[in-house]
Amino acid sequence: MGLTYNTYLNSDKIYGCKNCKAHLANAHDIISRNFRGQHGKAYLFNTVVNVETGDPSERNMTTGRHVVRDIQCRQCKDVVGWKYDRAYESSEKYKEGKFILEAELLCNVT
Amino acid sequence: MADSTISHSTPDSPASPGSEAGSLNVQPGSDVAEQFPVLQHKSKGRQRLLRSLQRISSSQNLRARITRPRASSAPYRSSASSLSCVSLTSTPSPFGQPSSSSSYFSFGDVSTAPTSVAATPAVETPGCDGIEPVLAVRKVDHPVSTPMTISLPTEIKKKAKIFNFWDIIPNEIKLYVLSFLSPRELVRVSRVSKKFHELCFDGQLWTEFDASNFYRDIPAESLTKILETAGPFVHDLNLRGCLQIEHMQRAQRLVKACHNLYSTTLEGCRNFQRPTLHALLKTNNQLVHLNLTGLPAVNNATCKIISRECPDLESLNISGCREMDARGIRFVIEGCPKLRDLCASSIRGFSSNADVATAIFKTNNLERLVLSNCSDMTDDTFTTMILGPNPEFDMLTNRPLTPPRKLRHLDLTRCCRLSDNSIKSLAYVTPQLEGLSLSNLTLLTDSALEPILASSPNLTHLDLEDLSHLTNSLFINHVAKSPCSPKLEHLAISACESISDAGMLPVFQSCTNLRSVLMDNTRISNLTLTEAADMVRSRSLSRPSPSPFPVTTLHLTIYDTPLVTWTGILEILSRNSEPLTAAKTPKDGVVEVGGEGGKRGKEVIGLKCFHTWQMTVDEHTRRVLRVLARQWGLRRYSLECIREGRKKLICQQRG
Repeated sequence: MGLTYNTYLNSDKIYGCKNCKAHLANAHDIISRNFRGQHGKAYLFNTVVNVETGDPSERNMTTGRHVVRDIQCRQCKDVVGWKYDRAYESSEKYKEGKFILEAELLCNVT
Repeated sequence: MADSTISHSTPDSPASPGSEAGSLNVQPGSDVAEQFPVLQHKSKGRQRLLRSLQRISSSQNLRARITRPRASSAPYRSSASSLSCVSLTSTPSPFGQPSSSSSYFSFGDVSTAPTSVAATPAVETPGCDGIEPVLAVRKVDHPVSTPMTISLPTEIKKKAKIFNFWDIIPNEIKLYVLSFLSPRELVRVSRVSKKFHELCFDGQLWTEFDASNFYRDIPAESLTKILETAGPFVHDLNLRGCLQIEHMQRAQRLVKACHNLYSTTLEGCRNFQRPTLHALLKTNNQLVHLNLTGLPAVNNATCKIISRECPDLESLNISGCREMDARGIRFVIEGCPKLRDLCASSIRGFSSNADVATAIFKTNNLERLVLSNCSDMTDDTFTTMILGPNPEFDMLTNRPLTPPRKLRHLDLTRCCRLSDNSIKSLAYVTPQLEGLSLSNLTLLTDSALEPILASSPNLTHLDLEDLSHLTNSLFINHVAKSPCSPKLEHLAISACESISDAGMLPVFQSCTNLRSVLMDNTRISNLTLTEAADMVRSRSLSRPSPSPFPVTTLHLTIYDTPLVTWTGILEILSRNSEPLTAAKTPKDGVVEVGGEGGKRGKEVIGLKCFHTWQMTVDEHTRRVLRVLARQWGLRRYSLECIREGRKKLICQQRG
């Protein structure tokens, strides 16, 4: 397939994968921090880079039923969060297509 | 004179070369000599043409040929006046005559003129029947038509040489011209010719090689070739993300070629091998800036080599190098006396090696120290780093008696084991501290920050995210009253859940230089927003605008705040649009016209709020800025200019 190059972001505050420091998302892109994941706090982002999405699965979250996919860092293949595919409740529709990154699995890359 | 030049021409057509000569003979005597050779060329061709015409006209057999209808010549026969020697060439023959007519007129290229004219006789013969009846007419028409058409060419004829500008100019100017091209364009241009190839790969054009724009597209071989040819000229090398440099030989060639590096970034070149990296460091003894983020090739031995071979190093970034630990940092600190900027995030081993901390304390050279994510850093290590192994304390004030540190920026994000005891040690010892980031140090309370705020008058950036034990009293009593409050530009208190209006109102009242405040996940409400709007209003009236066009000077981040409602957002939006309404309605007969008065009040607040309101807010801000720009008479300022200017200013503000 060829070499998988990383995308680099331009910002003063960037979150990256804890293991390999690959750029994942811009801190100014956060929509909300009021989320909880398996490892504690999680942030909702508009766009993330350098991730691969897995297979969709239906999960019951505190806010209701959702169809989500797990996201892995492209470089080290560690799971860093998930992506919302579909939200069954109308009040949760705003999450569709957005990404959740778990704060514990992130680090600051300046 | 004209007749003498055409003495060799045929008597049958005295007029035709004569017509040339007659009309060409505009210049005085000195130029005639120059005209001679050309004229002779021309007249030879003319001669041949007219001789052939003679032959045709005299031969009986060919009459039939002539009288055959010729579509090409027929349309032109009517234009009798144009039948001068000029028109001879411009008469139509289907055999590509435009070149000859243009050559006649242009005289730019002497070499082509005779050939085209020489070509005409052979080609012109079909058209000669148009000429025959007109030969007689020519005499009459010449003086009228020919001077008009030929006078210009004479001027140019003297300068008829091939003018190859690029060959004449000196090499330095050629290089200056090429220096405006981007690397991609330079490579493309190099294919023009061998000389261009030499020029384009001249080392002086490649002193700064920044692959950020094309690291994905450039093949490893090209990258190596360019760097090899540029070789010792390369000073700034940025190979961030270039995974292609994996092959041993290629990387080695690169390293052999570049031995004058001043600043290098190899971030993300995960396939770079350790021996090659070591060779690179050994050959580049003048390195000043080095960025080796995330390279698995870096280990303690690499750091030892850096400390030995690169004595001039001033900034080093070895974040995320998992193969090394704090001992390597100690080598670097002790070996590079000029080191001012060290980014060592995610490095293990700080607690087990107290020598590192002692080394940092003793050398006291660092101005910027980033130790984020060093999760095994303990209180003791950090205290040693700041105060030394056995600090003495003043008996009366209980303050440490250590000489002041040169630290200006300290980042300790996520070093979770640090608590109040060690952070307190920063107080009174770091007078030049400008940026402090203590985000995610969840054990901290107010008591750690109070002394720091009291003793750091230059503080501009303060990051206190996720410190849930902080209370309002810190902000009321210490942030607002500290000596640094007028200078504070950036304040982040995201996720400090106990902070509310009571704490933030005094902050907005006293910190008038604020540029960005992150208050998400706190308990602030609309009152804080009103206060912020007030602050911006008063400061925009009292101080001159920081930029020539309306710009966002305060960024508020307030998503996830349940107490903020649309009313608060409206406060901010109405403050943004105040200059528009005020300008329209003059109060008390005082009209704000252009000049000083009109230039104030142009500061806009940028807002990042709850996602459902965000689009409305964005649109409102965009429109306000556009109208403000237009009010200023910046009609021709396109929205792109304003946006770009805003972006530039924001980038400047955020550093």
